[in-house]
Amino acid sequence: MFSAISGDFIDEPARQEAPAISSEVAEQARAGDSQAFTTLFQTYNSQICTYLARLVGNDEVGRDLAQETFMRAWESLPAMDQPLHFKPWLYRIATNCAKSYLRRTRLIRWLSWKDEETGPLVQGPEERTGETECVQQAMASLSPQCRTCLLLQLVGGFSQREIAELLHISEKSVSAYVSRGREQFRREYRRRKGETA
Amino acid sequence: MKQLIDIQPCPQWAKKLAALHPGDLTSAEQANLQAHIQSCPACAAVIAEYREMDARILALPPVAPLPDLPLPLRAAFGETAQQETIHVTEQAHASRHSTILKRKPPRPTSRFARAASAFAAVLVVAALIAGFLLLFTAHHSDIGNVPSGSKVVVVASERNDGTIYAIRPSDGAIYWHQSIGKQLTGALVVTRDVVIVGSYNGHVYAVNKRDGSVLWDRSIGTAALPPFASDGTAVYVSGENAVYALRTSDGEILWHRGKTQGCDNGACTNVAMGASGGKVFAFFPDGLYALRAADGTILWRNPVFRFTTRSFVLLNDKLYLPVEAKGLVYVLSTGDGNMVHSPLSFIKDQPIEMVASSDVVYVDSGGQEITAIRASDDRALWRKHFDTVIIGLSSSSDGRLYVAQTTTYVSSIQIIGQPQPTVTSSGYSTDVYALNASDGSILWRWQPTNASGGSSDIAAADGNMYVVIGDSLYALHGSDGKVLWRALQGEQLSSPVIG
Repeated sequence: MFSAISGDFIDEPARQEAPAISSEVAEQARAGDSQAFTTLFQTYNSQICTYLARLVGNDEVGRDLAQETFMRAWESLPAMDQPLHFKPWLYRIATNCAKSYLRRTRLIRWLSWKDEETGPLVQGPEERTGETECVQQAMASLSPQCRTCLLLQLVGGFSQREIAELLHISEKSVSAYVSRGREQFRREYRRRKGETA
Repeated sequence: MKQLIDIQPCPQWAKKLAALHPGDLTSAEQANLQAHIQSCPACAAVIAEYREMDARILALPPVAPLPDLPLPLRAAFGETAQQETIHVTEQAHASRHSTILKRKPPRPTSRFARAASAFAAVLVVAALIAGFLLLFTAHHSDIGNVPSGSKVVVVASERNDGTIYAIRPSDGAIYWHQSIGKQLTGALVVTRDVVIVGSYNGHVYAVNKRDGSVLWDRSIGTAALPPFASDGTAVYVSGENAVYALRTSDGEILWHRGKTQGCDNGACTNVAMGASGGKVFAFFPDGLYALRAADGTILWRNPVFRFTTRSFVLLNDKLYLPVEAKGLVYVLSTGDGNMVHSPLSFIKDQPIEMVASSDVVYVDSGGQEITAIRASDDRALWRKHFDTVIIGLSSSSDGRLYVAQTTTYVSSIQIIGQPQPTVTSSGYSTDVYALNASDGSILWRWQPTNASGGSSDIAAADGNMYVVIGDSLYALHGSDGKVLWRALQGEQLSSPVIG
């Protein structure tokens, strides 16, 4: 008999939970109420910045994209579909902003260099990385689709069904992306930790 | 080195193990999973590791939120702190504030005003519909079939309708457009008679280059990602788990290489590839593979070069592979995958972009210098240093090198009393350069006046070049950079391809 070992390593993940926001606030913002939009901004500012920073792998760029996201949201609110589902709608804008950014700045590096000890390039001590770098590099090794789905679940707190609706893809695809993302992240993280231990 | 113990989850439970959100599984599924975990040490360990990894991701150093609403919104909301002295500081090449349409808050209206507004709204809607119809007609008034033997510029929309456009190079007229109905990935290749695209829904579609009619549709199960490659007989498609060879004429899967070679348990992603001389080259997580184009047989594998950036070059039976972190370009023989000689050296930790033309490889290192390398002996023909950064080397044709450079402008405000400047807005501009391929000198530079986004790769042929900038496809005259035409305004387009 074996038990699922949750808690043996680290406590259950502490997600940044945005306080529940009433749909009336989003409705008011859609009608042009700047105070209501400011409330929405204050509610989702931290989450969106974190999501975008993790997605593009750079805090400063993430914040820059968050600004773009909120500006686009304000511009687009009047045309927002009924019924109002503000949070997934905002994340969709954020995801599109990140996608456009990655495309126009050609930052999508398909892959990264393998640290092969027997290869022509021997990894030097200066490249050995700490915990934060290990996590960030493992995250960066995921495909954009896997990274997006995983972060929407982890940072945004969305279920796979919600992610499918948000990204306009099938739930089956989301399930595959999340599964593949977790497995690849796990392996990459362990590989890097193994090398740096 | 620490010994890694590889734990494999049961394949049939793998997806459910990863479904950690409370809403992902039904209560029955959760109960079944729990029962399985109780009896399976591997899956119990894997789910525990997933939770641990989640915690590690969430435990990353926090990202500081924006200190306030973006400045344009504050201005729009009438909350600009007029009392504060604001200094705008140039941080990048220039400072440019992004513009935003200010939405006016609704005002209380009288019944008459509401009636007038309703009437006006009807007029506006009518005008919009008429405008849309005009626009639609202008965009989609196809001129008909592509004449036999003629070249076309093909672009694909990145919108959900997945529309492919075939454009006449001389004037931007649309020969035909075909809506696939599924969002396309931008993977696009044009053969003599067929245009082939990939979609996010796991399908590859082929349409007739002559009239845009759909010839075949083949499912590969996962998103069909760029780049595609073709040798005419087959198109080589990179899925997320495998490389597929599809027969160009009917889409039949001739062979595929994936999970059993180089991809362990679905961990294979981001295959980059190219086809040349009866071989297909594909990067898998465990190395660079050369596959026989006819049947997918593995000809060789180089385990050192597992990964690369996308701009590798195939020329004269050699593969040129950039390793930016080391500032090196490795040259491998396509025959056996071994290094032909010691790597070529460039600026370390700078982006390396390469294009090839006939017998020369052009290497742009960090946007600071371009080196022309003769492929016959890999000796430098010339090296041109630039005082300004010119990055985005994209194409070579007709004795010219084309560069599409997107610059991100970051501006900031320094509010007195606050220690750090705050980034308040950003913008993008694109410059297109043509360089002389014989010495690297700048022939001309062109900047669109109203670009609202980044640039695509450049396609060039027959003296002209084609590039997507922002929401339009542009054609420029190669000799002087004059705009020949602009088309498909308002679209979100992939990089153009000529064929």
